[in-house]
Amino acid sequence: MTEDREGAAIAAFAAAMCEPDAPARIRDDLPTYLAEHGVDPADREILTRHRDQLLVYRAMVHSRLRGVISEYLPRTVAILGKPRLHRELSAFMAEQAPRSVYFRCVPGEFLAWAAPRWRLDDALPAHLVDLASHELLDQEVHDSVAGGEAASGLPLALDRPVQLDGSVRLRRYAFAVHRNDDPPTREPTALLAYRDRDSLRMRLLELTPRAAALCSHLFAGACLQTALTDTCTDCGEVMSDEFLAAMASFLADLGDRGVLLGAADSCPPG
Amino acid sequence: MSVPSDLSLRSATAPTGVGLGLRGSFIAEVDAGAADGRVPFFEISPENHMHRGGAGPARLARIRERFPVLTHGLSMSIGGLEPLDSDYFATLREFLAPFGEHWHSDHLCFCGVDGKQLHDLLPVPFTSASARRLAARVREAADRLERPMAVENISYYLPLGVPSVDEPEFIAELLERADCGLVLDVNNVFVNATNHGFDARAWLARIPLARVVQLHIAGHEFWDDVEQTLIIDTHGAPVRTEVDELLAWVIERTGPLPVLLERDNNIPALPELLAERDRLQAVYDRALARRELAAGGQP
Repeated sequence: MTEDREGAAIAAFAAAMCEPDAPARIRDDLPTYLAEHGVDPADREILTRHRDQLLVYRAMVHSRLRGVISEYLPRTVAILGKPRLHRELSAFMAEQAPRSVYFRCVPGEFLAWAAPRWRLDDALPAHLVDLASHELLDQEVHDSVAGGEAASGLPLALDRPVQLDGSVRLRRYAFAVHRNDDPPTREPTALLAYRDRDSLRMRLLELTPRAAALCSHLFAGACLQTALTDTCTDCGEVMSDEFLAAMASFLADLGDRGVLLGAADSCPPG
Repeated sequence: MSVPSDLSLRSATAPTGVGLGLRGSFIAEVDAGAADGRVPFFEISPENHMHRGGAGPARLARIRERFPVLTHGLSMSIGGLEPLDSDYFATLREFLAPFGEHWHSDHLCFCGVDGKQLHDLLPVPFTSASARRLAARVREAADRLERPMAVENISYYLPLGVPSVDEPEFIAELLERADCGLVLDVNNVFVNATNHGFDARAWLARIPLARVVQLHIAGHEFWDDVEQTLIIDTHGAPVRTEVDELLAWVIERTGPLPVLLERDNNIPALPELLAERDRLQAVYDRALARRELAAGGQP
């Protein structure tokens, strides 16, 4: 068996795991399927004698992937239902398939592929993508390699951006999926998620529109002054004493939680 | 056949007896001391810990201080067609650094093609060409990781093309060419022997046992409970007595080795898993006693 011949057999096997029509074609006419994938005639013959085992492999690969998706996205999968999940995974395998070597990344890869489709699918609940994204948030925050950094030691300054804990995430949903209502309420929602320094568990803060806007600008690296000004613009507010007091209180709370770590030690360009 | 000197050295410093695969469902209990004095070593799959923050790294470091920890990968794709993944190897090498100088192992399989990761242990052709190609990749892996490599025989459910050699010959050629160790999974031998109709002990008798650095042992299940024509290496059931016997057969011939009890599905509560470990440790101890007797020593 030459390396080319060996490569053809491996590639054909992998195709049988991924191609959407593979099960039907394997059942109907495996020799032709293998020939179309460049498999040597002698190898076709022995693989054809093991047709059922090839289908078992495909079932095992897909089952394992559905299993990890179901583990990380249980509510999403319950809404999708088993038949739809089977079809979705089959399409995912055909169009993209997992790319990360880390098994735990499969649900995120699957969702990144599925979300644009699900948003356009009237047969699915409108909150499904928000729900799935929120189900993955816990893992993302908990597993974040960044987080728990030391405070910068610099007081907040209007002409500097801020330093944030590396585990912090800002999420915006059209539905309040974090409240576990069934079905979730359609309500614009902004959440700040971070990993608690003591428990190492994810904590959520439900943000007001102005706090969410401020976080957006700060996360983007804006100086505090610019972030406050742009937040007023976003929210149609003037920079009143009440606004500044509310934002100061919010930032102080983030500081107490170990989310806001002081001023960054570098200014943005320009 | 020569025994690689570095592997002999590693074996001398490696733990022996029956250890457990460290799994997320009970890692917090182990961290809290529930396995102290009960387990000679743990084994982890680095991919479950690499690029992961939060509570995990500190917890694993605490466990590493109390137990020897061996490492066994899932994603190297030794049988893959693409070049070895440089990012993966760089991260893995860094991850392995605190784990002492033991070998790192992975499977004789491919995991995907064209950048697609299928996250399963998929078969490779049993040919000399394949043995040469995989051996070169194992050598490259050892170089990249700067530590000895060992490879594990997998359960396979079909031959991927016409074999020019049988599995023992394939493995022996690969081990010799790669100058690496073997993680001998005796449950996989049993599964393959049952599914493909060969004699497991005859198979084992042709394996260069001097290359074995570690054993794996696990349970298996029928693919179809009704037809019962194919058994699958699920790591989802207790170890069967037939597999115990293969474990004992090997240990009688190799002497003390680390033996890993793998459980990845239907994982029972830790006390139940520890009880199964104890049962297997007794099998292991009896095999060592028979070895001593056969050598003319005291049991």
